[in-house]
Amino acid sequence: MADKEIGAAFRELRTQKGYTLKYAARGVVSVQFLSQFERGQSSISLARLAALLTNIHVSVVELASMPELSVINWLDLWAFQLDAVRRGLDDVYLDATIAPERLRPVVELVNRLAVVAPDERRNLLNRGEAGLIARTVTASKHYGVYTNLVVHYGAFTLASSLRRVAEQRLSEVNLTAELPYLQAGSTFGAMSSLVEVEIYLGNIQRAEQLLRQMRLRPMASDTAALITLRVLEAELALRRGDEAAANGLRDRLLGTLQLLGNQADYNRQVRYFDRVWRELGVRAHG
Amino acid sequence: MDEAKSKPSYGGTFRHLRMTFGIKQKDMAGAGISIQTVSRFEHNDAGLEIRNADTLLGFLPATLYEYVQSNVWLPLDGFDGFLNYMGVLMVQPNAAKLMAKAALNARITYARCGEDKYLFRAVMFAGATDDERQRHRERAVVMRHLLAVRQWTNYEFVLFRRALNGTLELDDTRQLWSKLVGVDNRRTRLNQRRQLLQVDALLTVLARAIEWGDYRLARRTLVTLQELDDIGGDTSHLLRMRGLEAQLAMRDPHGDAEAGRQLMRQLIDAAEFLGDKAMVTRLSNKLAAAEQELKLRS
Repeated sequence: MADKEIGAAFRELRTQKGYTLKYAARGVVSVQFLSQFERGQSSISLARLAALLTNIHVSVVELASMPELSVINWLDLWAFQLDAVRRGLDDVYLDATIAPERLRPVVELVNRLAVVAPDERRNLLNRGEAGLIARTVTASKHYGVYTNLVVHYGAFTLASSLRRVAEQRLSEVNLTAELPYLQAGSTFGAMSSLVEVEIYLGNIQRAEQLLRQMRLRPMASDTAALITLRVLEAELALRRGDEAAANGLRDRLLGTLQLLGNQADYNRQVRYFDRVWRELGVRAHG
Repeated sequence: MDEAKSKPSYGGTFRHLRMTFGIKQKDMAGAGISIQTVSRFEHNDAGLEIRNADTLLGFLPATLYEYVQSNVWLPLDGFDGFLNYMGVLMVQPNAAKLMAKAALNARITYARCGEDKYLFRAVMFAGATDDERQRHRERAVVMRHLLAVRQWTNYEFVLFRRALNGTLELDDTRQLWSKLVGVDNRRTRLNQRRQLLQVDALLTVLARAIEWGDYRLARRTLVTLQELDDIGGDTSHLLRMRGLEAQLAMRDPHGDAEAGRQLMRQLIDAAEFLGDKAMVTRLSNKLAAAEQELKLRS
């Protein structure tokens, strides 16, 4: 990551807001230094950069999201790309080379898992690859965006004992520290994948128990989270063989999405239900 | 323990996060930064260049957002620190009281040093002062800032939305309109986050406009919201918007009250189906208030 990029991004924000060099630099650095920094001729410490951003009322996170800083904070960019794939946006390219070398193998695996349907993920990886996913799940004492993404997409490759480990660690996350993030990088997103695995495997009681736990979490008051819970309930009903209840839930969910007026969300959900009904419907009777 | 709490600093927070991830300092050698550099940063906040900070965070791995959110000791001066602090206060059982106290402290600091940022902080914590004269002065300062900033960033959207709780008048929105709608719609991380705040702000305008009977502004705001390219994908916003749309249709003399009523009932039904009790209550109250107004009008 070049200091030049950061300086240019800072300059872009400063001029966007209409602040002079003098105003932005006050109390932190000299005008001359700031000018040099913006031109990429000087580097700067994190603390000083934060102080400059304070002067122009911009958050550190906003600076890091500037298009000019394409490689800063690779994990944030990766979560954004995966979320775009999940939402069915077709102009996204998942590239594992954005990750640091030691994490690239796992990132590459998750990228492969992200573009196939959940049920296909189970047999997609070979033993060694599934082992990499498993090690990430067990080695991480702290579950944040990175591990949430690995669990979210790798859930189907995990043995039951490892799924328990993930469930336990996800239940320990301090949700007040997890402010709204992209769905796939959230604790809720990871847990919903774990529930889905139990449904597909026919572990009805386990799935019901996890769903109950999810309902109690504060994030479950978000509309998207409530919709996800109902989707999982519909899948669970289908897995139990209660097609009438499952179809009822499915139709009401689609009706709700239509009412909200987002055609893209509605179309995506229709395709999702078609696939799940195909996959689970066969098993429910077979 | 909690070194992060005993030694407020960027470095202290990084150390706390590193230990939470179970990573030792010697493991960081793989990131191309010496143990000595990491140690100096963690203990003294000394001289860590921004390019190395990104490498270290990526190694953990943690997003900058996670790092900032885990740092409850970020200087309150910064917007990140402020949002962090506000986030911590908002989930407390006595949140309103704490925010009011924080706002009072900020106003006291503003009175002492005259720096606008303290006034803005007070407004963002807890809206308007009770003192009418002071409110007028504060309104002028807030408007001056919001008009002067050429292109709003997250800070201005949050300040504007909170200032609509009594510091600003609804009519001020007209002067600020071009700033409110001036968010780039290209799908980038920056714009996605900014648009979420923009939509929040516009929904607040819509709600206030309906509340105060400025139906022309309400209609304009609703159309603007409906025409936005949805890059944020926030379903809660959609539900809120449809609720306000229904309310407007019922209360606006030029609106289709029956269509509004039907939509409102469908939304209450949908909220009940989803199990969102708070939304059911809110929408039901809005429906009742709108019906009451229609009755009075006829």
